[in-house]
Order: sequence, then C-alpha cells, then structure tokens
Amino acid sequence: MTEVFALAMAHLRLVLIALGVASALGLATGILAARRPSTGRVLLAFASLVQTLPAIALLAVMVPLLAWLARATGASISSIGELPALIALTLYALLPIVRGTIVGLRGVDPAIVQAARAVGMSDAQRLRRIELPLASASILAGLRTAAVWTVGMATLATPVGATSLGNLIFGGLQTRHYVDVLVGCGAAAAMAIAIDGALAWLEGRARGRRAASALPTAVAGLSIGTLWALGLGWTASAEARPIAVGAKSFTEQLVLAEVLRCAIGEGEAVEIHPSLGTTVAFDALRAGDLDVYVEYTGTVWTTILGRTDSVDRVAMRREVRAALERDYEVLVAAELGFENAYALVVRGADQSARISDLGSGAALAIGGDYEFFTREEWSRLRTLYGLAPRETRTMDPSLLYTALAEGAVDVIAGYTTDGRIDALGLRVLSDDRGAIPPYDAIVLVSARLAAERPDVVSRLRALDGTIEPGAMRAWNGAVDSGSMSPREAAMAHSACASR
Amino acid sequence: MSVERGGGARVELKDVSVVRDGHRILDRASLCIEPGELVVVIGPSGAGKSTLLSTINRLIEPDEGEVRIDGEDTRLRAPHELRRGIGYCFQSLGLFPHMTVAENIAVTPALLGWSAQRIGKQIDALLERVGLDPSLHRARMPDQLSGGQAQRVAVARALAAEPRLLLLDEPFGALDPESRARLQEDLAELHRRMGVTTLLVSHDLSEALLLATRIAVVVAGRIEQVGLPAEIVRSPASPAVASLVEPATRRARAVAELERA
Repeated sequence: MTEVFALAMAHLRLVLIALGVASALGLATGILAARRPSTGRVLLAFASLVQTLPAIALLAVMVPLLAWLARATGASISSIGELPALIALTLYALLPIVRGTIVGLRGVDPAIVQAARAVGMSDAQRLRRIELPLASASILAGLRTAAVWTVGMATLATPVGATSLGNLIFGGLQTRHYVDVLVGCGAAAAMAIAIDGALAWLEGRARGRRAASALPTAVAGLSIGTLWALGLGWTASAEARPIAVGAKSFTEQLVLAEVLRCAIGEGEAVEIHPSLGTTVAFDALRAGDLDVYVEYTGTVWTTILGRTDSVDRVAMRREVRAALERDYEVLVAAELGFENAYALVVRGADQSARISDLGSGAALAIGGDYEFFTREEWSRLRTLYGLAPRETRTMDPSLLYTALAEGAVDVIAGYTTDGRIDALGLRVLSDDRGAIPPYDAIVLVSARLAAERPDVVSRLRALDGTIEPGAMRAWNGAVDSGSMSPREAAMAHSACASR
Repeated sequence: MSVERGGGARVELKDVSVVRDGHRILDRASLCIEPGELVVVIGPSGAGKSTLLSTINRLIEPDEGEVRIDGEDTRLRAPHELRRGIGYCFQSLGLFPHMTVAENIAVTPALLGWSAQRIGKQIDALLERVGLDPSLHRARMPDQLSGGQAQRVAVARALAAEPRLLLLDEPFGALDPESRARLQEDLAELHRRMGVTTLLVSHDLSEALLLATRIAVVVAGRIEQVGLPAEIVRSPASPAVASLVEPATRRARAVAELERA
C-alpha cells in the first residue's frame, strides 16, 4: 500500500508540474494568439501538430532528442526519467489550454471590450479585470481537458524511466499480476476524477457571478500544487543520485534488475527504471542517465551495431564487447551465463520441429513483440527460409504465449528463457539455417559508473557466469505463474542469498 | 454634493479625417464646442456620427487633423488616461456582466485612485441622480436589471469620475418610447445642473430638437451644417439637410393641424 501511495505521489508530481508549466505557457500563448491572429495561427498549428502524435511516441522520442541535445550542448541534461516525461506531458497539455484561452478571449462581447477601453483601462488592466475573468470558464474547461489527459498520459511515462502509476500497470502486465494493473488504473482514474471535479467546480463558479475569482483561484491552486511537487523533487534530488538500473519490458528483465540490485550491494541507493525499450535504455546508458542494465549480444549486434552477418556465440561476445567499449564507451561487466534468444515457437501439437518445416508459412499468422518485425532477425528469417506469412501481428510480449496457446496466432517469436513455453506446452523450433544470432545476456555499465564507482563495477563483474539457463527459465516461470514477485524470484540468486 | 461640481470642457475638432480602405468615413470635420454646451450630432445611419464621437476619446484615432480638449492636443496623453476624464456611454452599454452595479460605476474613480469612502458616496449620489434606489440596486448584477435601469447605470458609470466632457452615442436607442422620453428629460435636467459639456449622437431629429443647445448635421462623413435647432429647421444649408429635417417638420405640422381642427 505504501508503494502504491509513493507511486501515486510520483504520478501526481509529474501531473502537477506538467500542468503548471503548460498553464503558464498556454495562457501566455493564448493571450498572444488572441491579440495577434497571425502569430496565433502558427502557435496553434504547432500545438495541434504535437497533439496528433501518439502519446507514447511523443514520450519515447524525447529520450534520443534530449540525449542528442546533451551531446550537442555539453550540458548535463538527463535524457531518461522525469525530464523527457515532463516535456512531453507539458507539450501535450498545451493545446487544450491555448485553445480554451483563445476561444474565451475571442468570445468576449466586443461591446464590453469597447466599454473597458472607454472607462480608461489600459490594455493590461482590461486583460486582467475584464477579458480574463470573462474568458475564465472557457480557459478552465481547457485546463480540465488537459488535466484529465495528463493524468492518463503520465502512466505512459514509465517506459522513459519516470516513476508513475504506470509502473504498476506495465509491471503488472508483464508479470501477470493483474491486481497491480487494476490498482494502477484505478488510482489514475481516481486522480483524474478528483482533479476534474475540482476544476469543474471552479468552472461552474466562472460561469456564474464569481467569474472574477475563479481564474485566480485556479492559478493559485495550481501554483501551490506545482511548487509542492517541485519541493518533493527538491528533497529527493538533494540526496545523492541513486544508481539507476534499467529493465526492459519483460519478466526476465525485472528479475535481473533485482539481481543487479543485490550485486550492487547493500546500503547503496538503487532506483530501478522498468519497461524501457532497447534504444531508450541504450541511449540513456550512453548518456550516463542509466548506470547498468542487462542486454543481449544479438540485440547489440543487430540493433546497435547494425550488423547483418552472423558469427558464432563466442566470436559475437568478443566483438560486441570490443565494439561497445571502443565506439560507445559502454563497458561489458559480466556475461551472465545464459542465452535468451528470439526463437520461433509453435504449439506442442504442431508437426514442425525445424523452422524450415514451416515452408513459406503462407497460411500462418505470426505474432511478435513490439520490436521483432522491425528487427534484422526477421528479415534474415524471411530471406533464409523464404517465410511469407499470411499475417504478422505485433502485441505485448506478455500476451504472446497465451495468444499462441489459444490459437489466435500459429507461430510466435518468443524468448527461449520464457517460463511459459513449458507451462503452456509450447515447442521451440530449431533454427536449422542459423538466421537468429546468439543472445547471450551481458551486463552493460555506463562509462560514468565505471569512472565514479569502480567498487560497484567490480561487484557487478562477480555476476559473470552465475546464471544457468534452466534457473533463469524457472524464475521467469515462477513470476509469470503469479507465485512470486520478481524480487522474490531473484532471492534464489547467490548475490541476493546472503542478504 | 460632489456630483454638482465639474463644469464643462471646450472641445475643438480641426479637419479631422478617418480613412478606412481608401474611403473617408469622416472627411475633414471641424467643430468647436463651448464649455457647457449640449451638442446633438444627427445624420442618416452610416454617415460617420459615431466615428466623429469616437475620435474625441481616441477609441478611433484620426488619420488626419487634430482634436483639442481645453486647448490641449489629445495625442499628448496616453489614450487610457485621456479617457478617464471623459464620460462615454453607447447604445450597447457594455456593462461588465461579472461586476455588480456598484462595481461597474466604481471602475473609473478606482482607476483614478479615489478613496473607497469617496467612491462609495459617489455611487449612492449617482444612483439617486439617475433615479435608482442605491440600497436596492447597488449589489445587483447587470443581468438583473431592466433595459431602462441598465441604461441609467451606464449613464451613471459615464458620470462617475465627474468628467468635464460627456460623449453619448445613441444612449437611448434601444429603449421603448416611454422610458426614452423620461431618460431624455432626466438627461436635460442633469446637464442643466452639472454643466458638463455633452456631445450626443442621435438619428432622431425630435430628440435633437428637444435637448440640443446646438445641432451638428453629418452627411456622408462631412459636417454639413452646425447651428441652433431653429436655424436647422428653418434654413437647412443643403438638400441633404433639408431631406433629413423634412419628415420631422411634416409630422409636427400634421400634429399641429389636428390640434387646430
């Protein structure tokens, strides 16, 4: 319960800061736009454009953008965590506020504007005492829309490394703890309803006799909220920055993040950023915003190094290690000792044993995670085996195995260490033409951590060869079946056992 | 009582023109108004009457010519400061809907930095002067007023800061004939007691004849004739003025004949 409360507070903090900044910017933009229609059109077009981007894409694109900005300017900008989330949330919240302000100001009766001029008000006095109060119902309506969107969209901040109620939702979906998902959604919904209710009450006042006080009340409330939220962050950032551990969006990564936490050592402040994508995690590691996470050699080989050839496991480990250190200043601290490869998986009743048994697969529907069909492995599978399936379907990795077992798809691109392969009676097809590269799990460490905390890095090095493939599959299975949390599963590892 | 003070300003317009899209909606208008006069500006609709009025408090900036109030060029002061010294009331009133009657009237005095006590007394005095009971009307919102009451509040607001010049742009246009007649009488009475220089725009010649010390006739952006009401009726300076006067005189003659018969 305390964890839910902490996540809700972190969520509220994101929402309030983003709304505070968006309100200030949106109000100023709206006033400018209402005063100068030509400037207004440009600003409104920009805000509308931002709005058309899918929320999750807007969030994700902030990470490389900020990382590039940090490199280009040499400034210490954090590309992962709250900053990209706040920028994206703020941009997203801007449009309804700007639009509400413009509509409200333009809707003021011209006779009243003329009267305000005639009684001797300056432009600023007219704005403050007449136009803004009369526009406040419309402005507050815009703010309400922005608030509800922001609360919802903040749950998507988890994949860019910001803590929010999304942690419960994404984590719960991965590990099939659906109660967590419900709690996360319910808390976000309650927050949205509460904020909406408060603003609706103010909007009601703005439409009535108390128009003059509604907007100042909203501004004061929001300012207090924003300052409080900034204060929360201030006390947090005043402490030493915790070691940032990344995890991608599947069960094994959550377990491994807990193993990394153990290895880093007792007494160290560790913050886990779950549900990151490959490029988000790697970019953040390079930028030093993430200190350590577990990657797979095949992923580095294809996605990061852009290699299309194939070599054996040992050669790949050697080359990946050398290339990362040389070209990216990223250190490989340990090879964990197991491989988690992509593999084509079929139902146990299926006749095929090898990928080449599938033929062209013209009658088949193949399911894959968010990345798979854009990855090099997939184009290699198509070239080497001549695969041309009837349909490819992208879905969340947590749903893939069930989808296969229930017959929604015929083949999936699964992960070899996933516990559900055994649990659901599925079978891995052998890659008889070597299309899929090896995927040895390796611990990547940022140059920053290597320089600042050699003691931590040497403890991470001790993880080398400590995880058997069978152990990994068992832990994943235990989490996915709902009998253990990732943390409990990690306790079986020697690094955690001593604690 | 403070409302009795004031006196009137002298207003001079010299060759004032307003050009929109190459068209002169006001064409070299010159007019001199002595302190305490009540000049009614009449003319057909679209002739430029309201434009003429608006150049005086700079709601519309003249493109040519100059306006002087008490000898001072109006361009020498910031528009909003200039307007605080000029009462203005127009047909659509523009009462601030989110403020009470008292707050509406208090706007200009407050902008001028009057004390709260002085403003409070002024509001009561003005409401009584325009025929509204302060205790009943002070706290009302504009949407709780009848048309005639709103009109009176708008006049009170225009008079609130004891201006020496009052600009009224068809202030009674939207009223029924009965309230209109009563407010016209009240205005004439107010004007006599306060001596504030008043410029009133009207499209109604009988209103002009009833109220004006002098009448200015505007036709197609030009001031065609300025004179005493009797002069305008007896010797119109142009066919345009004559055709403006003619319906009113014909009506008056018809009424007089009926009375004789």
